[in-house]
Amino acid sequence: MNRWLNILDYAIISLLRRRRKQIALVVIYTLVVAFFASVIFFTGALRQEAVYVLSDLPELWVQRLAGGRLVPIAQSKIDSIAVIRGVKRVLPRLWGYYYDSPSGAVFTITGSDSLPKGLKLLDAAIGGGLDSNQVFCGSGFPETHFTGLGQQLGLIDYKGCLHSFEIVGRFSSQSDLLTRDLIILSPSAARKILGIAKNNYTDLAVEVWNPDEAETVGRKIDRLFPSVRVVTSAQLRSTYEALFSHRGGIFIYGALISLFSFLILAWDRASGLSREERQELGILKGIGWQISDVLWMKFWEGAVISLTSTICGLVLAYLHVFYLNAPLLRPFLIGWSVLYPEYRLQPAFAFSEVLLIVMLAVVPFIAATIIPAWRGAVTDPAEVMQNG
Amino acid sequence: MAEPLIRAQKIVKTFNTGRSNELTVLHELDIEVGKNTFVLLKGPSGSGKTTLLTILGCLARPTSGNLRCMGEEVSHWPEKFLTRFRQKYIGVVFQNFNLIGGLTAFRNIAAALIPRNLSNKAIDARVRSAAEQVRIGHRLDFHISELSGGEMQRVAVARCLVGDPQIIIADEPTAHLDSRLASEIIWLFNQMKRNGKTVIVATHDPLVQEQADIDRVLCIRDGQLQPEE
Amino acid sequence: MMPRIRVSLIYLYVLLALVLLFTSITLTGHTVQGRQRMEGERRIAARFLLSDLCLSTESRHTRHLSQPELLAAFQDLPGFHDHFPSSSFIRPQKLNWQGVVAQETLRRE
Repeated sequence: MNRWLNILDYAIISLLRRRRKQIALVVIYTLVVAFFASVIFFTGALRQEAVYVLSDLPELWVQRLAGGRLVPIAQSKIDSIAVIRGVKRVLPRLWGYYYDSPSGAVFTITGSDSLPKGLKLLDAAIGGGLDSNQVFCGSGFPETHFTGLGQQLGLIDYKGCLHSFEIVGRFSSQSDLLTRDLIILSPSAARKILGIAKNNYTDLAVEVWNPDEAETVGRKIDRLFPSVRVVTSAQLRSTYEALFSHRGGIFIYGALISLFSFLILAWDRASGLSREERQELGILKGIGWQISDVLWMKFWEGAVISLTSTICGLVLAYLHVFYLNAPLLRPFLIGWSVLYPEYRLQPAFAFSEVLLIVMLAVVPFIAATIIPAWRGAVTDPAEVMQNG
Repeated sequence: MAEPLIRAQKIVKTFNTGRSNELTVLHELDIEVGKNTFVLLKGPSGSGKTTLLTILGCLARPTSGNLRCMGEEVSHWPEKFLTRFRQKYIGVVFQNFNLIGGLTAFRNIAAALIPRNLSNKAIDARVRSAAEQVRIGHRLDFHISELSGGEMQRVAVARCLVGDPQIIIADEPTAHLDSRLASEIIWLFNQMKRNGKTVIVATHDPLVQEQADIDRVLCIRDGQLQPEE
Repeated sequence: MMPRIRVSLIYLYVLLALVLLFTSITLTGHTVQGRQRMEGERRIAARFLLSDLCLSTESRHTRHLSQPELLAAFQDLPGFHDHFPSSSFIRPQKLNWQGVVAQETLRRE
């Protein structure tokens, strides 16, 4: 034990000799690790949020295509799908986009007659379903139009007529990640604005009795109706996985490249053991250090620098992503838009991710310090005497 | 008669074996060094003094021949055991002192104790006692760049003494020193001998021969021992 | 004189403190409010059948990531004209009139 502490003592004092250089090294190293870790934390948290928030949805989504484009689906399809074995319920959806020229933003209009009860994040003035002149909306519209609960919201329908709605419910900004751009209308009003004919729907959500059979049922629907596309919840989730690993991936690669270029630089610096350093290793061997002692000393030198930087980097990344909401990373990972959702992510802490960061950041650096020292350490101690 | 402290038989040292620049520096040397003696190795530069010293000090192994040291046959030991042996019994004072730059005198002396399993307290005590022996105790917290030549020299000797070695080997310890400092270091070596150590010094400085408490002089020329003068 | 303090021990304490700091912020960062918020969002998604997060609202391709148009090529490319030019690197432009201005903008470029 004493021997370890002695060697660690020597390693630290040895580092402190070139204090300014080592501090600069630790600072740069910390920033590189913080960048890399930020990307991993951020994508991890978003992925967690997506998987959790979308976990209660029906297993299948059915859309009708014509010429490769989404077209409304008729009531008759709902009836035919509902009788397929294994299907529990078919829930038609009415939704579409609405470009709002005053704000330059695109909103999502959803038609729904669901009751607002039991939703904590919806501040609703009514208890029942929406009337045809009432609306629930996310924080996006009121913010861009400086309106609020009880005030009017104007929408232009597909024929060009202006319709006015009373805002009777507003989603809390806490749920921005899901509801920022939402405008929820009664089904009849939504049809009017979106230009969807009666008895037509945008697409269908299909619930099945046994989630394990979702694939089979989906394939059956796909076979029965040649013009439809079936999306499963698993595909939906994997889209998010793919998105974050694709966009996140670019940044992870970027961060990896910076990490490695930094390590290559460090390697370059460390591998050319200067004459002075070789001399020092020779002296240490001459006064009774084993090769292993010298290598342990070098190991601790590398470990002190890399462990300190990695942990500082992890702390910085954590604060950046979860306390400051990743200001440096967000636009790059989720893109810019007019309705920019502001949200505070719930940390997703995965031990494996931290372990990955530590491995990637610490191991190569220690290797970069030890391997050149190896060559210096195996030289004959007699050489120091010969060279004077 | 008791076995001598060091007994070297037919020591040969060849560098670059098997290559075109093969060079045999020592030719079948036989040397015995008794306990508590002061041996002076003399000879012109390039004669093989330093090489012999590295072999006697277990810093290098001979190409052939046998070396017994402290009753152990060490000539064919692997590096690891040799280092451990050296750590225990042998102290080295290098030419130019070879102190480690940027560290304090204390850390330089303590460096020799680092690989040993000693507590912080024990290291402190030993470094202080070694430093007191060479009267450098008051300068322990100074960086070696702040020390004078004489002080650096004493730090180097303290570093050699701190492990309490039986055998002290020194290579040109007075080189680059003025005669006052040289006398001082010779005085230190005499002290060590008085304390029961065996001292082997390689030098061609006549001052050492004049002032040191020498028991034996070995002359070496072209890798062979010359008859004693 | 006191024996010197071991710098190694000081360092190990500092390192331990940093590790504890990191563990404590990771443990406290995971808040009950955050859980409740996510739970609330989950209910909203289920009630109104929202299949996607509102990550980027710039076009139909990016708004509903899981249900994109099949024939819309280069959906994440900034210059794609069915897509108000905005992406990771380009801020959205404010358009006065949908469609026409977007085309003109493209031609100017």
